[in-house]
Amino acid sequence: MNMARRMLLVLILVACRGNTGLAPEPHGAPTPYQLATPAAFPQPLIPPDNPLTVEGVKLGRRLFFDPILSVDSTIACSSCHQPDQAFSDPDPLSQGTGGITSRNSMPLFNLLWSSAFFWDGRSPSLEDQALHPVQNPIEMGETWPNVTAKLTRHPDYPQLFARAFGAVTPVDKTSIVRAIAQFERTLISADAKYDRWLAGEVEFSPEEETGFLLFHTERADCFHCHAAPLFTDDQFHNNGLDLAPPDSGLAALSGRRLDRGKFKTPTLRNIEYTAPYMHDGRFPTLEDVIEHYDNGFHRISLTDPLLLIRPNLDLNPAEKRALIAFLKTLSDPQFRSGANRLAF
Amino acid sequence: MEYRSSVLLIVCILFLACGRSDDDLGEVTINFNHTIDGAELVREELLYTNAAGNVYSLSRLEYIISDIALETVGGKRAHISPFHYRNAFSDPTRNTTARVAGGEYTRLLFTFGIDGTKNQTGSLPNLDHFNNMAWPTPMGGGYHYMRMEGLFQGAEGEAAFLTHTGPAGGDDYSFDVSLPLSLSIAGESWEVEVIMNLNDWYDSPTIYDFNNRGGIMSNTEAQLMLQTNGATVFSVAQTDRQNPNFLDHGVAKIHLRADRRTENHNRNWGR
Repeated sequence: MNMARRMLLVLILVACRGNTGLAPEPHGAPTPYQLATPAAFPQPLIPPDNPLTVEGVKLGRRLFFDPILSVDSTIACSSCHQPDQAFSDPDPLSQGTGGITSRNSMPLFNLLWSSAFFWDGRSPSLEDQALHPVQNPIEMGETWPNVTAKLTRHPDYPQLFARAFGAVTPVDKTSIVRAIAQFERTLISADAKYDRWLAGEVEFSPEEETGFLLFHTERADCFHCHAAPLFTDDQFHNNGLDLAPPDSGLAALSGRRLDRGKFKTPTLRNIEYTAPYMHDGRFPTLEDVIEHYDNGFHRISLTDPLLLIRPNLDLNPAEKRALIAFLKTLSDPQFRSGANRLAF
Repeated sequence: MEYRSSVLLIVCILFLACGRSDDDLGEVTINFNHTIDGAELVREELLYTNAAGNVYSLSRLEYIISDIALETVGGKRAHISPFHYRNAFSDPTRNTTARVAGGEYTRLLFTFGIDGTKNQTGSLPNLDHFNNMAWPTPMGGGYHYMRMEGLFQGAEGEAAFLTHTGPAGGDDYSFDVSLPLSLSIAGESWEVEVIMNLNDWYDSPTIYDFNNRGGIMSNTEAQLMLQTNGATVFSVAQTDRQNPNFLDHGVAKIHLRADRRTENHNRNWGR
């Protein structure tokens, strides 16, 4: 090799050293989970200290469905977030170990694209969110030391935690909520008729198309809060449910009087499966929801300007049916059946 | 021969690595701030009065600025950012920063909104804040230029206004803004303060009364009025970081587009 070639080789090696830090992974390291996210969705939010692994997701799934997290081993996460309800609860309020909750259980999917959790947005991450129900006296009524002790002496869990996070990581509330959050991040729903229509694979019926137009114009003006592709703006609004909102909503977090009765905009994806509706589950059907926005909301100073600006919509019966027909194009039966969820 | 090849190779690599001196590059930060006739923005408080006499509050102010650049007298441009999203109540969206080549810059240029040839559904990065600014495809597609929302005291109590500007009817109501400044960049860091006076949207040359407006996304007359009123909305001030006192205040000069029709308007609803 002549001098110039040797020098070139050295320079190339020096130049590339930043890309050679591929130290071999320790034996038994968890396997990175290959998360397939929809191309039409934004870049997902995954905290760098809790990357998804196959072992972590499996552990999280088991924990999610295991009532061991509750004080009397009767309530699991899945008790109030039921898979066939798109991980929501068919009851307006949920039954916990200590009574009835004060709010409707929110559906769980497409959480990778949310920046605040709970109806009032009080949790900034899924990991933080998962800390709350276990020690809530109404929901699971347990303590984290007890949960940790139960899992540590369980015949399976210690090994599952070691596989997911390594043998040196203790079984504690941090690793528990990290596993649950990993599983929840795999709950992705993006295979509705709407998505296939967007891809040009299917056509809308005339009624669905009418509903689409009502939804995406100022006639019904749903799009400002339920923006595609996630069909939520991930923000908080008072939608005029009450003359004097009994639930403080966002105000509990912000301390601002004017945030009273503001709640997070829920996604409309899978809305067909997530009845009843609103933060307190007051509306049993989609027809009730349409009636509310048509001419049923209260015009108070806390009501969002997006609603307050318009006169009653006075949608005719055909328009109401069309809106609901469009909303049902956001249903993802594959997600509901769990076919994609049980693939690994 | 081998020695000469080696020297030549090293010289080439050093040349490629170093390229040019960065000494004259300056960091320029453009801040987008707001006022209502000198008053600070306070969220959701009925504190402000516009030219029509509407006493109003503000619950939302979000907008998109695009094609931000500095320009020299000779027309040389230094691009700052292709587009910038600003939420008046979210401090992290306040500014955009770029390193620009040394020179004597005398103009700050940007487009309020997005030029109609570029304003198409999906043309901006797939981020929540841009998606929330989407202008629905059945209404022409693309993105809102601005969402300004709030309440005002109406004859029968509090009412709402939504100043949503954008490509109504498929037309292009974005506009170019040219602001005078004097930036002599030779390695220094500069901050430029662009100030939007909200009441200027509603006062001149046409008074905009909230009482006469509902949703305006399909109202081309209202869009044209706001585009024209936008001529006086922006002003600019500048400072270098060693001198916090503003050196200059300018007034926006606006160039309305001659051809407002959006060529790429279509009705395929984004498929």
